[in-house]
Amino acid sequence: MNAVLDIRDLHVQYRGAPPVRAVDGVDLRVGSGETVALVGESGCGKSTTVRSILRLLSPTASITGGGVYLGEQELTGMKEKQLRRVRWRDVSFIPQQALNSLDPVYRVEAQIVEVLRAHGTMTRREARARTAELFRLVGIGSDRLKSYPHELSGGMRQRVVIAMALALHPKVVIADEATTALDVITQRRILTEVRAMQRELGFGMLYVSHDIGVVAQISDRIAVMYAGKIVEDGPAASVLGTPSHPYTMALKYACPDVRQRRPVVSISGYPPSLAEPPIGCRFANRCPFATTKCVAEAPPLLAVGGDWRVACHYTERAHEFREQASRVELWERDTEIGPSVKTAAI
Amino acid sequence: MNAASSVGGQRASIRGSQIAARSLGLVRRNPLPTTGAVILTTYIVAALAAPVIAPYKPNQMILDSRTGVVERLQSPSWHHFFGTTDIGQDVFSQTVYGARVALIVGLTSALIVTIVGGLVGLVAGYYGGHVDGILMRAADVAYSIPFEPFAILVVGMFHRGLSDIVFAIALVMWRAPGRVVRAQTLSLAQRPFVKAARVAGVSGPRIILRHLAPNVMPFIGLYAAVTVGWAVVAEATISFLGFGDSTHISWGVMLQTAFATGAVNEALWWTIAPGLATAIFVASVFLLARGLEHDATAAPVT
Amino acid sequence: MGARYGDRTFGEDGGDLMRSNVLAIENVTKRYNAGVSIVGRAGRPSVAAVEEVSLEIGERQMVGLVGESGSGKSTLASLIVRLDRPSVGTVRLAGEDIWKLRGKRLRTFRRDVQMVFQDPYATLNPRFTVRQTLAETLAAHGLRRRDVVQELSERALERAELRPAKAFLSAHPSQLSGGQRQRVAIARAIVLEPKLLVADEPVSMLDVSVRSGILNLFERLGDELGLSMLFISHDLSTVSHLCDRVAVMYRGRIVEEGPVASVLTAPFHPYTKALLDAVPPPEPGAWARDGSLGDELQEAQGVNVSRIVGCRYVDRCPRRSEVCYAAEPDDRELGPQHKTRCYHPIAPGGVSVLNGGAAASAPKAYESRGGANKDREAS
Repeated sequence: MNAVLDIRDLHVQYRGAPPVRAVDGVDLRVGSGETVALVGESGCGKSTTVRSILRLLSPTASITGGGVYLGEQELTGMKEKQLRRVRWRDVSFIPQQALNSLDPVYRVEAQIVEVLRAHGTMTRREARARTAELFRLVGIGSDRLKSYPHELSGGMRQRVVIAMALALHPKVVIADEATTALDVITQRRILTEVRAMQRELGFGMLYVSHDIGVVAQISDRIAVMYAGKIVEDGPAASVLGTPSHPYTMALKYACPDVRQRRPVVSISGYPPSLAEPPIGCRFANRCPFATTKCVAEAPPLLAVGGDWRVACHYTERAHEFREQASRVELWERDTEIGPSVKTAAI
Repeated sequence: MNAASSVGGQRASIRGSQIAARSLGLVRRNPLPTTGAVILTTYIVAALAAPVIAPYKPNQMILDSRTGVVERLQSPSWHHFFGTTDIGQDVFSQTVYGARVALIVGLTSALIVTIVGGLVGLVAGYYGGHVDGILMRAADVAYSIPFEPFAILVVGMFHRGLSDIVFAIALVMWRAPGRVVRAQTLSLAQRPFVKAARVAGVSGPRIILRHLAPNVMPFIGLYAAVTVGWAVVAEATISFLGFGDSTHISWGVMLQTAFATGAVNEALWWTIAPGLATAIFVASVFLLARGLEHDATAAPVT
Repeated sequence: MGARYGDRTFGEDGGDLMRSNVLAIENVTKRYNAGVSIVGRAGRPSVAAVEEVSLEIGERQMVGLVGESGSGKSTLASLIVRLDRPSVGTVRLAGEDIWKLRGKRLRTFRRDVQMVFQDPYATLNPRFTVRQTLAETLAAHGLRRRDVVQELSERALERAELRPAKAFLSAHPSQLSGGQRQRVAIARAIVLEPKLLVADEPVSMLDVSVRSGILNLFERLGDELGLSMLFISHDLSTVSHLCDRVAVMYRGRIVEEGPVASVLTAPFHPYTKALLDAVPPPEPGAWARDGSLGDELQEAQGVNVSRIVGCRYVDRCPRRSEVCYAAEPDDRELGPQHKTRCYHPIAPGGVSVLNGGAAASAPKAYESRGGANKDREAS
């Protein structure tokens, strides 16, 4: 499948002495019509990665290597003026809280019309018609066109934001924890609807989340990120069905399943400081299967079959590890005080 | 000079240059508050060392040593840096001693206003309910009172001089910090660590003291700084209107006398000195307050 | 150090029923004045965050309270720990009305009922060291001697699995991770060995990989200290992991309550069912297999609750009928210890329509917590 979005060897640093290497060589591809999930816990670098795509990083962060390719165009090197044309037309964004992108003093129709007209040559009438169409697409009744954001429920607001993101028929949509703030029932409806829209419109989606359950249900491919690097990346059924990286295994067994009651794993220890990352595998200090080789040498991200890649020295023993990984005691160790220098919100 | 003392001397000079460098750094980074602080310090020094700095007593009528005539309305000279008044008082000395009055009025008022306002805000914000209702109605009443007429009324009733003015300020001006602190307290009291303390059984006063007050201090500090300047101007206004305390020569009294005797047109120095002194004093306090505000509202590194 | 009530006569009616309950919430309603535009049922402007809620927590019981935001669960928590007062109804601890407690008895209440909050980053005063935070709680109960404070603080930290305790005592919150902060909050809550611990979403702001550590800690503490717990969450799966009984709240009322096993495998109330169906399982492809969503998962429409006269779920419920609009259904016990408020409950042994009639993916039989369920291996 042709990649619509291709992130190659991306490096992003936050200012500091020494600088914090928040994203340290990340490769990620999203094909058209495909949903790729970027999964990881707080501080792993997933939000930074995603903000780099549209260069919406905080002023203390800078892209120090690699590139982001949208088809033929490379985004990190583009001038701001060109990038502005790419933003929203080719790549759009669904944030976590709709309230962060909806202006409370304007009606929702007006806000979408504004987006449409800012990026094109539509007349007001055309824009309104298109907005009505978009509302139909996302499942909001046309009686809500003239509502203000606070008059809508959380789910509807999120749908407005989705409509805004799809307004210009982008090639790629980035969703950053797009349903985390919604209740679980609304979340399920919206996610299912977005997938349907994706099948209809054919956009690629990069879904960033820490919620393994959501990711398991909506993604075609999953990329797992830890301490600034991708540790596993492959088809959803493989990555979550038969995870090959110990961290992925831990994540899978850390997720409670309401349909069955089984003991749930908790990993002790903390991710390493990204200001002075270790030379070897970054998960080694918490990995129950780590050896001296793991500590000494960083494992490269290598293919284990088809388009499935894992960064571990012992992928051939993955099935062995999987059998043990569901055991809670395996992951428990004595805790020590965590690093006293907090890493910047990544 | 032996080796030891020369080394000591070197160390002293290194330290001296370090201090100079750091001071310069300080000034470069925060020019405005530093300027404010420097000016304010000058005033404080002047007030404290008034007997040393001022060549004459403020209400002393100075006679020309040769002729025995009162040195009325003399323009500024080496003998009288700021000239003299219509009855031969040295304006410079008066200005210097005036700093004392300004500081006393300013600092006392600021202290009372912020203590009262802070307490009211904390108690109203934390306890809520009827207590909050009563205190905020009191604040509303205070807001409805126009300051100058009220101060004049107080002076007229009690005739005790400076303390009347401070009393009037204290009675009325706590309203603003009171409201602001209350708002801050309301939001702080919702924070989990405050709720946790309540659930743990920590008493109200202790919660206010240990959890709430330290976090509203920056705001109180800000109001204190602003009130100092404001109080000095208030005193000057009241004095200028003729209700001041003539036994303590303040800048306001100086202005009032100057105008009352009609000397304004002839003896500009007599009005410029106290006027400028007041203006610069208030400005310096303001600059310092801006520096404090910046610190108070700077986003903390989590 | 044992803070127990010992021999007491309970309440006015003093029934045996009271003796085994640590906490009883009796028909509690909490109303807030909302302003002029909303007219409550009594004709006064008000919004009831919690309405006619009754709940009992027994000794050594872990009770879960599940609800989405706006369901009133956090308000209920405030009412239990005496941060807020009910508009109607009583909250009783070991039979005594907590709002009638004064002086020493009130202090004992504050020792016996503690709370853990949701946000680990706001739960500790950032200016206090861990030692100061713990010492404050101890001082509020008269324990100020340095050696006593040191010993009790260290013990609490060790119980919260923060080792070495001495090192953590001098730490500042800024040096601790979210999980560690929450453990300090737990240490603070248990330092006086309470009888009841209320935990309001204690893990929802923590990373998934550290959550179960905290949940396991709660379980361990429950055993070690003989604690009862009220565990509040919007996440059914965390509740299922830890609790004996679960109550489901919707718009201020408890709509279903019962043993965890029956509520989660065979719920009576359509809302509970919808919640269960909506949770995404970590096994890929489950939703794809489930097929279309159907009527059961309807979203909240932002309806004004105080205008609804009948069942609160009526605007979203696929099983609604005339009677549902007329009046609020009563609480009825339809299974062993398993109650619900519904005119059309799902028949016991009901199946999810989403699976096209087939039984939901074979749920593993739940074992009661009272048994020796210390087997840690996954099936």
